[in-house]
Amino acid sequence: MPEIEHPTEELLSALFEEQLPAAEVENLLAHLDSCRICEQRLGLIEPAFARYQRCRELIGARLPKPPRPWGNIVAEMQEVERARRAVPTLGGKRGTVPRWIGALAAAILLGAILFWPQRSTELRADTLLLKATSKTPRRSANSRLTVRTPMSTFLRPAVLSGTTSEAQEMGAIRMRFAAAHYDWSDPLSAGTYANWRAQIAHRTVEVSEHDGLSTIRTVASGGAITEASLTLDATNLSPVNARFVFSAQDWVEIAAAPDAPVDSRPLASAPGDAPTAQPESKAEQSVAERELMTRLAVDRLGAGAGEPIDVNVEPDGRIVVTPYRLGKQREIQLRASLQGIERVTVRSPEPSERQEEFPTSLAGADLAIDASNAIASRAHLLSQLAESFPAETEAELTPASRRDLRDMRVRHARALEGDIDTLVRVLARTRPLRLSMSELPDGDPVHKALLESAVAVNRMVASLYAEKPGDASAWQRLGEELSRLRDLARRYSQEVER
Amino acid sequence: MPPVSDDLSQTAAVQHRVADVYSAARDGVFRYLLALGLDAARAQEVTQDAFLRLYVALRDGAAIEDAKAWVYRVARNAGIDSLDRNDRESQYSAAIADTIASFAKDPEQELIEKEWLEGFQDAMENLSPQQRACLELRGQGLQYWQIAEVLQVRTSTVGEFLRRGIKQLKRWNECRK
Repeated sequence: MPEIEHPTEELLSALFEEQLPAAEVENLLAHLDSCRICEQRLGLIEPAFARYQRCRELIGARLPKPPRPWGNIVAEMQEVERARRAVPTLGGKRGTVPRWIGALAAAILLGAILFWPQRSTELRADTLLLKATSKTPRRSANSRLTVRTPMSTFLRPAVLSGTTSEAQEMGAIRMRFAAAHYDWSDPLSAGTYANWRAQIAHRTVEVSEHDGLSTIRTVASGGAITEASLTLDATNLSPVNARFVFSAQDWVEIAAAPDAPVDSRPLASAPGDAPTAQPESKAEQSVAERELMTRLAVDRLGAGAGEPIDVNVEPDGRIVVTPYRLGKQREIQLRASLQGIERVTVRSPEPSERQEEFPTSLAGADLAIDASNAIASRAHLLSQLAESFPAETEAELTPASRRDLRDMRVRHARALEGDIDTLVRVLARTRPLRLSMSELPDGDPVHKALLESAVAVNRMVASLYAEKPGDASAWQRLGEELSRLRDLARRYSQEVER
Repeated sequence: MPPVSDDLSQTAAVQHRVADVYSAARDGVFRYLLALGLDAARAQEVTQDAFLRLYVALRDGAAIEDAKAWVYRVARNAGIDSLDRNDRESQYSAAIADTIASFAKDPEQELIEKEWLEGFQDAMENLSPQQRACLELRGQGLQYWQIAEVLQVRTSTVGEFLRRGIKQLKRWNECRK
């Protein structure tokens, strides 16, 4: 970030008075971060800021203190380290170490003692569970699971509280899990799975990894659950699904489902083994809510921007999802994640519609084309979001859905800026590009101009690299369009982040 | 595979790094969580958990450029997650409200600028959660780029939140004159 000289009084005042260009604000804040003098000048220029700081100091001095002495972080880190290294140490002060660390350490110890011959697999399983438990974020009250049995399919909250109402079939399953000493209140969690494993005296374990998924399969003898598999997404280690086989060969499958809208009922059942989603509550969700949930589910898979997946709302309100280029496992994941959303159908594309995987990039040209393809895909996604959820539709969404929509927009807008930077870097290897501030149109929605510009850049890059070498003027035009695209992406980011 | 002694020294280096950040930043993180609306016990638990997560992430090889901003971000996310929805919507800290109320009972209240505080709570409640977060994090000594890291926005957006926040505070300040 470039340094600037001490800013003038006018410029410092402008920071709080008017909307300065983003680059200027960034430079000013960078300067204030490193210059005590100007930070103090700012307090003089804007007394409200100084007064706020003074109030904070007054209040800060009287805020409650921590109720307990602070834990010894070094001891706690060493305890985590012992668990990671599977050193059988049970002593030591527990202090404020989260309970899961103790359980996992015990599980690792048990595995090391009882299953020496297959210790490496046991350790692999325990290490995966340890990492998964530490990485899994706390779930919101709206998180839900799809539960499937041979008799029925239903939705339930991901984590049950003591007050959650319970359908009849859920009560029966709860009792089976209780008999197996498996925590039914939070069944799709690495910590719960690890705790259950720790109690099993005689077990064998397999860990398999393929198609971006890691599956831990534990076969137990002597318990009510004879086999339990937990599948984790290998990229972020979040639990994707779990399967439990009981001694009578009955089974229960549990998978993550899209979050419930804020005002929906926590639980409802759907009979049978339906391939598509069933109504989850008596209060029907709006089409916009369902479309958003569908797009969020697609987005959560990391698909949508790079892998072409069409989400179409039919005139009768049905939502049809068509994955054009998904592998089999990913398609199964997609179907699982869409369960629980009303009236959604996953359509398998005809062989003629199916798109081939992009070849892996090998050289500079492919990298540039890949980067510009990624930009076009992401701009297309942002444009679809803008078209599907204009301000008046967005206003009808629940607060939680609005937050989800904003987060998705912000995430992709920032990723788009990253994609553009990548393309500029890749292009610079062939020929330096001069980017400058561009004149942006007023009036037109930014997302439309953004999509047009992304498509134009994509076409120019393809033409320069794949079709003809291009002369200096073609590179100059590309530089101008990229400048426009970069500025539009920045403006879009600011709009959605506001 | 690196020799065991290398791994041990690497572990010690990570523990050193986390311990340094812990002693320098834990009180600030704790106060920030109080301002976010957590009670003291929960704020302490989330604070400690955030530093342990930092350790696990660093041991897993995560490239964390600024550990302090990372801890604030993790603590903020966990803190917001642990609030129930109503608290999340109101986003105003009971701990701060109680602290402000305690000034009125203080026999030495004449000695402190109590008039400044009288409208402070109202002014704070009029700020959006992002505006409040920017001001609070700055108050905890974070740099503007670190605040951007915590809130996962651009630095210029932090500037925009501040500008709007200060605009609100100016109204309060002018009323107090």
